Amino acid sequence: MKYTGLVLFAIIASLVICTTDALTLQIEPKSQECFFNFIEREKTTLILYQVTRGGLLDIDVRIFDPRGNTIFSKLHFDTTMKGRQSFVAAESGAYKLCFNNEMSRFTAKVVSFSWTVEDSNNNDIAKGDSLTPMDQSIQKIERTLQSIIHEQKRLRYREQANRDTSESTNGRVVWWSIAEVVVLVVMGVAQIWYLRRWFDSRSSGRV
Amino acid sequence: MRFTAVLVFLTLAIVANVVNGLYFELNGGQTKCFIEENPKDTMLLGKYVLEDMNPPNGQVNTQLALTVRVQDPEKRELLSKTMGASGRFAFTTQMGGEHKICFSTNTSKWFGPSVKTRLHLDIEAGASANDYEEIAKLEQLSSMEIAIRRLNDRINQIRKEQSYQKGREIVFRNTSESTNARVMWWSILQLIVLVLTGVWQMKHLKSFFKAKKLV
Repeated sequence: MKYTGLVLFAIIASLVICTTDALTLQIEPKSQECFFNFIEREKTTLILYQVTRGGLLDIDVRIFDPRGNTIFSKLHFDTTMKGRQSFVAAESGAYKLCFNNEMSRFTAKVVSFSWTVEDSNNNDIAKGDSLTPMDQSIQKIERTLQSIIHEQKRLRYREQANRDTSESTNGRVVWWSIAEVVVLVVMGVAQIWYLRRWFDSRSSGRV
Repeated sequence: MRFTAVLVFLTLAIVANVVNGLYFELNGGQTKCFIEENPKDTMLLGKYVLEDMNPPNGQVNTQLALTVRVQDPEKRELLSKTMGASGRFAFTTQMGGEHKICFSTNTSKWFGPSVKTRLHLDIEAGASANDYEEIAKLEQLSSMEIAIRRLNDRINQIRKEQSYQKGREIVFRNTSESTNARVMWWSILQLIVLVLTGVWQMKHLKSFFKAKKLV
């Protein structure tokens, strides 16, 4: 009896705490990657996405319903927008999420996203099972910890984007400085050479 | 009786969750890769179901195979496995950083056109990768103890992530300070080059005019 109670608790716990499929992938220039998820009608779904690397951190995000109609289409800029879309499924079926990098000619983008479908079964089961206050507070702590983990992941991606910018600045400073020194020296020598040529041609009678 | 029926329903709901979860199209010969960035000593668990979109003779295709390849941040191969139509793979990160997980299916030549499949995928990292029911059975823990074990594991994952972040912040700060120092030194160098070039120009012109008897 204790064993089945434990298994039941584990099952309930795993349903209440929505497991998020967080995937990160690289989208090559001039291509798109699409993902599908089967959602039943009247279930709420949440899609979170972030562009962590590549150019202006922009990606074209499109969401389609099972019939192929566009529910959402936006050019997402990670520096100014928050990638968060939540909607209630109007009908059951396979919904499609596409990340499109066709506007970029050379830069690949690294996109990280998670697609959660809320399970509304859990509320009825939890009530019928009369969880003790200890169980409830454990569940609450677990939910809070899960959100801390998500926030950490999000901050990590921002740190990575900042670091990429910093390393690119570093590289640019080096190359630009070398180029500028070379240009300076060449210009100095060229000025002298031109002046000499001018004076030489002048003294030989030709102006 | 009703209780076991509820239990069976819940178990089926969980299994159905994996099959009906997130999926994408993977065609024969294609390789799709995902990046997983995690600190050191993190366990990653991947569960998948491979579905043939046009099964031959309309029946379920039992010849499907999925090849999983995992590369660590230094491009060494950590895992290379070929499994059937559904299964799971797990590995523990030896070092912190970006790991690449690549999936590809086989192409059977006698099929004619290449295989079109759907890959349902679920990758968990860290505390979510543990199978708590197994652990509970193994160590015979009560439901309270297993719940506290879960919380403990999650907190440890958070701490690991924080120390990983600290290390990366140090690298970031070093890069910024080196950029800062470089900007300063290169500007001074440019000033010196400018001044030297100007001085050389004047000297050269002076000697040139003297030679031309203009001065």
